[in-house]
Amino acid sequence: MIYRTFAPLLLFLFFQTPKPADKPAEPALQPESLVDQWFIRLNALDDWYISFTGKEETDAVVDKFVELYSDDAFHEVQPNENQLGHVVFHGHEGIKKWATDFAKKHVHLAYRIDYMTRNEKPAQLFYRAMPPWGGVGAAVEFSAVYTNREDRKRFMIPGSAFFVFDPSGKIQRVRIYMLKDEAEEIEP
Amino acid sequence: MNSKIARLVIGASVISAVAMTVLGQSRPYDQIMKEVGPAYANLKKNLDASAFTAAAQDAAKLEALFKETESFWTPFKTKDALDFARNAQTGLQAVNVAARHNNGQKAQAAYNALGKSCKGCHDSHRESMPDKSFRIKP
Repeated sequence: MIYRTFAPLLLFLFFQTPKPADKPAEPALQPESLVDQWFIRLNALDDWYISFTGKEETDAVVDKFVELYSDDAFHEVQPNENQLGHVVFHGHEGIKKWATDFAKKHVHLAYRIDYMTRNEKPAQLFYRAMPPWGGVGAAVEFSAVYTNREDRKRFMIPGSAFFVFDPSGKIQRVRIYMLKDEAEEIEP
Repeated sequence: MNSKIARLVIGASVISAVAMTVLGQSRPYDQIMKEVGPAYANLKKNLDASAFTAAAQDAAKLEALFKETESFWTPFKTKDALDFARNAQTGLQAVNVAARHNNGQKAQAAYNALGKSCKGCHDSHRESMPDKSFRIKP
């Protein structure tokens, strides 16, 4: 009698119970938030201070920035006054050097992802790609707004950045292009 | 004779090395700034009281403090901070000269212009922290 009463209920519960998954699914990478985080920490590279004895205390903000990269990441930028051609920084040590130099050279950083407006709808466009080796690729157009620390001149330069994130969301490679020919000085 | 000269040369070298080390060391920046405030207030008080000799001394003291300020910023090549420090020194020289000539009006005018350098530099390079301390912004 008891069996007859409860058997259908047990059968019902059995079919309702979800099957255990073979493997826990990896959380889907959100390139928008990963790229956003990179811009947030890049802009924070001006948030350091000089000690009363004259030491430039950049380590805290630089380390936060470098955390976003995988151990063997590549960070590739345009040439500068110290080097011709495209410049590649590799690994945490290399990227730390770039970030430290960048932090010491610029203040009032305001890099921002560009907006595009169509039909009265503004949007920041994140171009996304799925590499065959996993992870995710993303690209954005941005405006680099910054002030030179030494001469206090402020500029705006259009640019673009191409990211490759590994499956854990760390940057494996970023390539930054800046259109220096289109640089504009911002007059106060 | 030769050993005497050698000893003199070595002695002079040691003294100059020690002097260069001591003079080359700059004081912590907060110490400099903490001396500026009272000296600046004294200068105002003495100008208002037409105590020109004392005012000239205050101006000279402040000028030396802003020379130290300039030295602090020199390795960083931060143009606006260097300009503020140099303008303050120029202004204080004007206060000093006017005070030594007992020209109160000119000294007051030069004193009033100093505030711009202080405010400009503080706006650009001084950050107030929640605990009421300050940080030097690059």
